[in-house]
Amino acid sequence: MNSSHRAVEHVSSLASSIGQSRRTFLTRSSLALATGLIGRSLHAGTSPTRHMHHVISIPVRSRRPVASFAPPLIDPDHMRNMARIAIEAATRAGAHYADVRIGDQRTFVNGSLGTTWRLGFTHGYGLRVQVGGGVAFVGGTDPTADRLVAAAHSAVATARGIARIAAPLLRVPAPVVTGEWMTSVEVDPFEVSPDDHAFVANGFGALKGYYGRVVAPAESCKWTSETRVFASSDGSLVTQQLRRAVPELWLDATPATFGDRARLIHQLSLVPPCNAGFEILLGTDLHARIIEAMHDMESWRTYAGGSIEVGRKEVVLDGQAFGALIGKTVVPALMLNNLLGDEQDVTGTSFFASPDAALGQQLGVPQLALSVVTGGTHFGRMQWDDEGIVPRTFPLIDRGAIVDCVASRTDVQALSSWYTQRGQPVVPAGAFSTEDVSLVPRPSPGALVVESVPAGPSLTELVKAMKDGLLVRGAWDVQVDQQGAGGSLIPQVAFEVRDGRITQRIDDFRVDFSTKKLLKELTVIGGPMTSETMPNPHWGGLPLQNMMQTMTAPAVHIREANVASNKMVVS
Amino acid sequence: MSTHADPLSCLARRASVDAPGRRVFTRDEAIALAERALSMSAMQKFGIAISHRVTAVTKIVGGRRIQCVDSDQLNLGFPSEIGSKIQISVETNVRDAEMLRQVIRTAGLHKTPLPNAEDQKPDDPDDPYHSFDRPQHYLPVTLWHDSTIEAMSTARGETIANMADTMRNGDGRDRQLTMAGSVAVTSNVYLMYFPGGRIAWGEATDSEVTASVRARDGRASGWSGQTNRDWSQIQPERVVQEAIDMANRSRGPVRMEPGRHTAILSPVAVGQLVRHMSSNFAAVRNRAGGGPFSHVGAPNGRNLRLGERVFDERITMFTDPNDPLGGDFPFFTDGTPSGRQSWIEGGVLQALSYDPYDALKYGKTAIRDPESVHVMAAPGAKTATVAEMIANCERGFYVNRFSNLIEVDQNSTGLIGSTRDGCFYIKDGKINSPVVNFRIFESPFLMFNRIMAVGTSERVAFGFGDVHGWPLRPIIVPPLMVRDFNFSGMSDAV
Repeated sequence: MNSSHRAVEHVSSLASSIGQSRRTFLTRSSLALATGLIGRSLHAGTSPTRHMHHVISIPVRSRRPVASFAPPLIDPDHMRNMARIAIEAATRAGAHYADVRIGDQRTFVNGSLGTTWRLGFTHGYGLRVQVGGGVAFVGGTDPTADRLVAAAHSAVATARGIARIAAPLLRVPAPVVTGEWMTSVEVDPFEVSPDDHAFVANGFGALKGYYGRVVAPAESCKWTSETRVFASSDGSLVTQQLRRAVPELWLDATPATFGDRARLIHQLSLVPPCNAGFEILLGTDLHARIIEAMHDMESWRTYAGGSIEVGRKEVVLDGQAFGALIGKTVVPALMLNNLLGDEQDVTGTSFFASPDAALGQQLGVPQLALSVVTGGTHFGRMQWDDEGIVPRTFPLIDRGAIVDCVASRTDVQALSSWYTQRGQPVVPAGAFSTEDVSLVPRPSPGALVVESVPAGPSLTELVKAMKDGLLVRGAWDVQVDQQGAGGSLIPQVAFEVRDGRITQRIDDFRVDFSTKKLLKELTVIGGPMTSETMPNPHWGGLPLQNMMQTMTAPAVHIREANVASNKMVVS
Repeated sequence: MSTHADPLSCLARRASVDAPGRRVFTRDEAIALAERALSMSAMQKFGIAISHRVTAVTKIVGGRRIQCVDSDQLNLGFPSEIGSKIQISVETNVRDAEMLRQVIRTAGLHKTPLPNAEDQKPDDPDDPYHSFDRPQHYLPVTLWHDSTIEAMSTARGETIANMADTMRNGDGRDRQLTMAGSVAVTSNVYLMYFPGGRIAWGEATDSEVTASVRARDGRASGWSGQTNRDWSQIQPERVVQEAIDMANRSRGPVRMEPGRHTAILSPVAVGQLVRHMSSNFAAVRNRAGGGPFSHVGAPNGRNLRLGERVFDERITMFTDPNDPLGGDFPFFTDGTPSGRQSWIEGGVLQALSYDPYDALKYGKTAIRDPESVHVMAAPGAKTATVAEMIANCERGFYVNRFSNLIEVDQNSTGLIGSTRDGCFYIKDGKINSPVVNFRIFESPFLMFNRIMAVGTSERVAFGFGDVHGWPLRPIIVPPLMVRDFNFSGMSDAV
């Protein structure tokens, strides 16, 4: 049974479960045409498109697979040939080192209720060369042989020019890698028809009618299929067929008007970003879990919305909220380029003064553990990163202490004494990548996990143990300062808890924190059932790029944190 | 699959980033490409949008680690209409004619009409959505400077070297400071082309230099930046020197009590606050009661505060596509014209923004929101220099810049963030000491009602860490002295 058949079988089953025919669903679905993305990108100010892509809108209705509207345009053999041409041109021009990434990327985004569709693909290249201490990067679109040769000559000339004043740059050796690899998926989303994508999306929307409340699941998913070739002057040449899914599933309660504080919006963590296919939306228990979440959401609305006294209070953060906080503070602080000041005039630095100041420092309770994970369907999984290194799972925080940082081939030397002390080789862990090959790769692990405690409490138990405090469900945003040393967490939904019971919903409050102090105040880490995986988009690099990663984290209890009001007092 | 070389010879000339001269399309070249692409499609009412941007960025870290990034990005989009309200868009970056033909064919754009298109209605010539086939008139603007084009190949080597020298000379013998700096130069063009109808063309250059200087012990920092469409107006060494001065003066900060205090905000700090105001000028938002210019429940039935004084009378705000300090393309992304617009005059609200869709719906003229804006002292209002503001300040703080402002209160645009790269206590008319950074919680809409003094406006640099990318649309603002600015707490960051 091919992908499309499986999808059809599932959606038929889904339709009958909610008392509708598949034909009814399809009739109701209105596959409106994609609106132009040009509009978003245009004016004399910002760069017209951060990601060069073909964006194709599809007809209103179609039974043809998505791939028929946006097939790959570039043959992998041709891409490998282009990569060889680029490397050869760079080395002949005098580069001491060169690497290149050539990508043919297709993306497909279905909007909520199948009403908005975008198809696109990026077709580009990024060539990096080093001459002495000078590094030059040239990125662009439409990689032809002429263009790549010209880019190589230009990059080498630039690198040679700046090498006169640049410091020597050491790049640790890496094994030469060759071969091919492909993300394993069960159902290729590009082999599914737009009608069936819409059918599944509408299936979520139909839960509004099923439940009988004004709680409407909004679902969209960005599917990415990419062929990426990496080659280096060391002799590496690898081809990867990468598949990624970034779903978003939101619950939206009450009709919205601007300023309506009774409106509740909560993002569900039921289907996190991952390296997988359409099968992630075909889980037989997914709708039941959504309905359960809708029930919870409706009960939240029944609580009166109120306020509490600001000040220091005990706080329970659910897995989403704690993961968002860690993802915006500790994780960037342990990127070695931030620790070394590479980003100080862009996104900032780290709340540790240096790698030496960070490594070995006790951040929190001994149960606190944070790791970069790879393998399986973890988001961002690649067989080789964008420096040709094989990624590995490794800890950043172990038993509450910092044990590693995320490094690249050119800066890992800063960790050499620490690695030597621990008997580890001085090599990076393979977490260097970019989502757009025409942009500069940077440290960007795809998936991070804060470990739960095996026999740890459930969220209900954490709440029951509270005397007087705040329960935070999800995070709208986490504002952090330029070092991640502190900031504010804005909850999606928050509740006051007294003597273990929720007394009211709290609107317009935030939790202000100092990162180190908050982690020192962390007293309890929740059990496995409290863990949630959420997207953690982050920015960095020059040109600035937004990259996706996932954070998995359990719920936690914080002894004391500062709760502040978001309402302006007019003076 | 295509392996063809690029047949468009005009682009072959621009293959090298170091070749001097223009590297983005001219108007004629862009129209030639547009007509070539359109000839491949038989879609009715077909238009095309072309954007082309070339950028050169050079970054120096620690005084000697240098990286250069060059990008050449082309985008072609095909907006069109079928009946009313239905749009089809194709975007592509290919220049190769054969690949372009393949993209258009794959998307089905070679057929007219598309099969199964819903809501397809007969053409109605009076339908306002058919405005694309009518020529439009645009305000002439000058956003292009040849000095910036020349700098794309010359700036990085010489400029970065000079910045590094300035840093070494300014650091002193004990080398206590470290710098990270960036030099960015860009040119871009945009064409929205409907054959026989709307043709919107714009071309622009822009440049920016920033420097962040920190003490090696991590306990002091300074920042400065300049931006201008004309590279010849940029003074990179001065940027570095200002950042060094700020870092040196930030050593040994003391902790001060947070609270509401008089604040003297640099133009950069003002610009960072003003940037969050633009979406609140949307008429639709204010009509719905969710904006700072809403007047819900007004006895006279008016629900907008147009014509009312909303800011201090010394404040004027306007957007001018031909502003000599910045400027912008004089049209929306779909080519709808957008000219000079006054927002606030002497503190009085003059207008709210309407995108083309809302303008049609409400019978208004489309006006771009003030994402690019010029704030200045109202004509006749007295201005003051920062030195004069400090001299007139009994107790207060000077703020160089903020970090990562986000909105937490929608109705008032209440922003939270923290100060950075230079925050100083002012006492009895003089800078007394650097201070540990503050958190802030403030609304620019409320702040503009607590003005004590206004300076002379300049276009501000924001650096390269903004999530909206670079370059941002020009923000031109003065330094301000503000009463009761909300320094809401302490920050641990340096």
